[in-house]
Amino acid sequence: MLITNSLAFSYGNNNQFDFPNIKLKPKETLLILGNSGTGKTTLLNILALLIQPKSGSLIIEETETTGLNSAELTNFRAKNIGIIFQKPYFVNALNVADNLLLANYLGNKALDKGKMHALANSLGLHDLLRNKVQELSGGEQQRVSIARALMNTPKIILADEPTSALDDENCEKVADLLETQANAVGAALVIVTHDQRLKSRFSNQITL
Amino acid sequence: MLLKIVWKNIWAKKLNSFLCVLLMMFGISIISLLINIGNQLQSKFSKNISGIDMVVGAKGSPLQLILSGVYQIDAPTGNIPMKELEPLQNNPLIKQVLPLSMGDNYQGFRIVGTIYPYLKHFSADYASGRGFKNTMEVVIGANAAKKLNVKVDDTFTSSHGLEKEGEKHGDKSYKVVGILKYNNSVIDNLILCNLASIWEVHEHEESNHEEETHSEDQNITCALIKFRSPLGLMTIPRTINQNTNMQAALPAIEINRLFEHMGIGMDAFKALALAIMLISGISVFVTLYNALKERKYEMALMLSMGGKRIKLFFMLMLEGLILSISGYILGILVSRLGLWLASRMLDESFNFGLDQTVLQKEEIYLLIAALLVGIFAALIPSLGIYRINISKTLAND
Repeated sequence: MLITNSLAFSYGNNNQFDFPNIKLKPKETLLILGNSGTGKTTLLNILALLIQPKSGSLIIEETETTGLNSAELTNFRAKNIGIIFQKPYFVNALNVADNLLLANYLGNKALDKGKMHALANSLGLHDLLRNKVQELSGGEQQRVSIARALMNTPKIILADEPTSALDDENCEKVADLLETQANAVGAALVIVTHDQRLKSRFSNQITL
Repeated sequence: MLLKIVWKNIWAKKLNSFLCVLLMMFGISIISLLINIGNQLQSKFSKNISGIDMVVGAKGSPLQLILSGVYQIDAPTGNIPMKELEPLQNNPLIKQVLPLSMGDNYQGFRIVGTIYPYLKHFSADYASGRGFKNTMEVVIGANAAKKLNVKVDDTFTSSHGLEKEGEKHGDKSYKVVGILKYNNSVIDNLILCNLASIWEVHEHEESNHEEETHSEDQNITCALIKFRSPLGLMTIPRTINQNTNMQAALPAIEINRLFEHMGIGMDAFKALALAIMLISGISVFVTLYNALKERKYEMALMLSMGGKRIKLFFMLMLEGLILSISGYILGILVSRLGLWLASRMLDESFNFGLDQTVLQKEEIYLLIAALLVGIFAALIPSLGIYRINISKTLAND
């Protein structure tokens, strides 16, 4: 499902990150911990195929992604990877429903309204579908982000600090949702965080 | 979905979009209005001029003579005796002399005394009735007949002068014998009769205080002259201006001069309108440029979700194009509204209508210009899509 081997990345010459190897099966969850500046987000970006590693191998769904060109990477990402960014980014002109369907559209898939309603129901967003995203609370926006990441039934879900802006109660809820939703679609879940509250919850951890 | 995003984005910043469309609309409508009025005036003017090489009449402004004689819009310069035309009628270089006598009106429509070939000159056709044969019989142009709501066998009395509120010639009444078909020329607005009718109406009044014979008093207002050969053009006008009490004016030259004067004003307006269009382009540019800055995260997000850069590029381009095209369409609509208003005004004061339905050739060029403004204004901001670094933009806190 997800196998990395001696991934390395450097922004300059003197600042190289060497990342530990990762091996993850479907429905498994991995917590990547570390302080600021240890390359957590960089590793997430590499796993999300948004940046190319300097060296090493990254295999997702039996595909060696380091050999793909940028158009192939874009397609591969849209098809296999759901990303939940630290900040809730949306297309602000569109309402919640259209922001969800946008994932289908940009991933070159048929717009799946049934899936949208199912996800909205299970994430408690159903009454908000017609709302503008800016009108939602932080917790609601986070749930829309999760729903959007699931719209294309990805094989891997990557979450970057998904709980850092949330209070304890919402943190617990979001963690629950991530885990159950990832299980529901049979995806592997990678959470990058420094949130202490998640440490006790997920046992499979690596620290950078 | 793409169109939906484009539309929602335009709608999300209504005021900016409104400003872009408004500016484009103003630029387009001003230019289109000028083009329409200019072209239609010019075509009406040239249609009426066709075939008439020279106008002779009383001394005065040559342009006034042309405007009154050929176009029936200005006051005549004065009268000339009919017998002064005789040497012209006998001149071998001259093909035809069409004498015109005016000075009366019926409800604002000019009554013009002339000879039958004047109708032939315009290839006039009858909608009903026949031509004038006897004195006090009139043939009415299509537009005048419609406005006056008269039909064959109606009678009316004329008023003195060219304005509605003239003194009435009470005792002599004209009889309508023919209605003309629409001719798209000056005769549409005229009431035509033979020269004797005009003389009869006026002789009667004058004879109250003067007991003189008629033939010396047979005055006309002007005469339209057609030459047999261009040689006439070289010699006759000068001879008339130097050796007689009449003046000769050449329609082609006077109308060219008129349009040159009008052209200066039109050009100034066109320059202004182009400047407005340009400002509209700049406003589209600023709107999209700011939009791209504000929506950098959105764009990076869409790219990370599998959006192709070319797709997002076209999305932004489309926003610019939709703004400028809707500006164009609104501009054309506004210009048609303006034409309609102008047409009503001109119709009231000059019995001269403008067509609002035709799309002028220049307006197609305007569409291209509007598209180019939209494309260029959207191009630079849209190219910004290709400079977005997804991971850096999204990781930026």
